[in-house]
Amino acid sequence: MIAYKTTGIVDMELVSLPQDWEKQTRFFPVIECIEKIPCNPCSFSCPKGAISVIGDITNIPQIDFERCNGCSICVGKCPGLAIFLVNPNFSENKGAVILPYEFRPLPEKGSIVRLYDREGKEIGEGMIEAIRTSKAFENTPLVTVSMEKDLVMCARHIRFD
Amino acid sequence: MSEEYNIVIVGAGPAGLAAATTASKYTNKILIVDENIKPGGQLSKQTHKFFGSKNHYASVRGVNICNILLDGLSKEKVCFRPETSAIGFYKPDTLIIQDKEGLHKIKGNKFIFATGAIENMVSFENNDLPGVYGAGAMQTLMNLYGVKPAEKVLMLGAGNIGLIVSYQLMQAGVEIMGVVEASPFIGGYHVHAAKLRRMGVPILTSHTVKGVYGDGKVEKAIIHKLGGGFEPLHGTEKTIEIDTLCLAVGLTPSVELLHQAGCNIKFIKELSGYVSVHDDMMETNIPGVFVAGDASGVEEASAAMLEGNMAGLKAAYDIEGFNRSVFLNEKEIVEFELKSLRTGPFCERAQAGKKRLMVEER
Ligand SMILES: Cc1cc2nc3c(=O)[nH]c(=O)nc-3n(C[C@H](O)[C@H](O)[C@H](O)COP(=O)(O)OP(=O)(O)OC[C@H]3O[C@@H](n4cnc5c(N)ncnc54)[C@H](O)[C@@H]3O)c2cc1C
Repeated sequence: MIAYKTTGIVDMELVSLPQDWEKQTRFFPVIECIEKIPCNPCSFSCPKGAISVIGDITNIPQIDFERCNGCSICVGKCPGLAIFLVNPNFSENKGAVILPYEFRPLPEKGSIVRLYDREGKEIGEGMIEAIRTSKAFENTPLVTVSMEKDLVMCARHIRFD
Repeated sequence: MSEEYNIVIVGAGPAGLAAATTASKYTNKILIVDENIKPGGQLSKQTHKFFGSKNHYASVRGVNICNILLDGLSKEKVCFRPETSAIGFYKPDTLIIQDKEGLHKIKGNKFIFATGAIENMVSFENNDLPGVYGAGAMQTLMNLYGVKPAEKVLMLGAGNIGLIVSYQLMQAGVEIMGVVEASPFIGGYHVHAAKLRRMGVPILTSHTVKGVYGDGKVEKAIIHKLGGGFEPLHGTEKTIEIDTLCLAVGLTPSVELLHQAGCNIKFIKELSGYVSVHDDMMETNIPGVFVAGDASGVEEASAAMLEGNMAGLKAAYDIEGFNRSVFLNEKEIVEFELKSLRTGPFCERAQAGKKRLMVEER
């Protein structure tokens, strides 16, 4: 049996990433949705047609990284909050992640937050670069947080005081 | 004196509302009764974005799906009576309902029972201690009435409901001490488990609750590990301080009315309990009596709506006898979507259950 069924932690080998993802200089989606569940809003959310659920609704979403323009709508629409946008080279020495954050209060732009990995372990600090709320995101606030480059594939939750 | 309707629907959850939506395209004089104050069934308590089919409003928050369905219903054709319980059905055409004024007889041509499901209970020491809650009650308190229902919760059950309600409790500022699951695997979707894990909530598979203890109320729970045959492993007990144990250990279809009405009831494990036998258009062995949604086997809102569409379509067709190709075309679309929905490891079970139901019937 696959480990995530007991741990709740995604097996990153099952997640598709662009080739040479570390060299990317723009945001690309990391879709941490690896099970055949009956769900398809992501495929309808993308204005560029970059995400598709082909055939049965239980098939796993496929992503065409070339078409993605980083608009973030899929991050807001995904009912599983399982899509993150990652930019490994957000600035010269920082990477950044856009993550869904459905808690109150929201962090403030420019503030420092603690970063957590998929197991809820604290892994470092990040800075809030932007917070966006919109009906297009189904009112799920999207937080852009910058961090050390080597944390972008690990940081999946934030906390602050 | 009794009122007369073409179609009487019991239950205003997604299945009942979808049945009314489809039926009202072809016929009128439709009544929906629901014992709750508000329509929507489970939908009205769900603040999260629904997973499921985009055609059935997935990605929209449950409570908003409910409003979309309601807004789509024609007031001239569909009458809704809240705080009204259906308490008995008498063949061939009489439903007894109860509201604040008392008992009433309702006459109908077709009946659709979309009564949903009820929560299961489990046995453990002191499971009647105040502070032991069903997940539905916790949701009603926090999402309908705006009451923070607890401070420190242990969740029993790592199916989708346990995982989603844990997340909603955290949004309300409640601390989740852990999710305990007897099976060796997380039963709910990985994506819902992942939301909790990244917030540091442990999910303890192969564990269960031995009991809850406290002076007149829950103050702590003792959990222990289970072996391969679900036997408690001695010496693995752990104490967790909590004020509430929340139960999310499955649902059972609500078939009491169908049973009383004289429908053929069968135990089908894959559909979560006793269900009423029905054909491919949701009609039971009693002509003119239909079932739809969780009441016909516990699944999800998209499936409940499709079953509601199906029952509403057939009921309206039998009354109005409209164009047959329109009827067949709509039936085919619903069948196709249902079939697609019931693929994959999570939904095959329901598919197998529905198959058994129909084969056993023959
Ligand atoms: C926490 C939680 C999260 C969920 N998340 C999702 C999700 O993300 N996606 C998804 O697809 N599904 C989800 N579901 C499942 C979904 O909500 C149900 O499958 C769906 O609501 C079933 O619809 P229904 O109409 O059959 O029953 P219900 O929604 O249960 O409605 C039944 C209605 O019948 C009424 N009723 C019952 N008996 C009587 C009577 N005798 N007289 C009058 N009225 C009566 C009840 O008051 C109720 O309003 C979730 C469920 C829960 C509990």
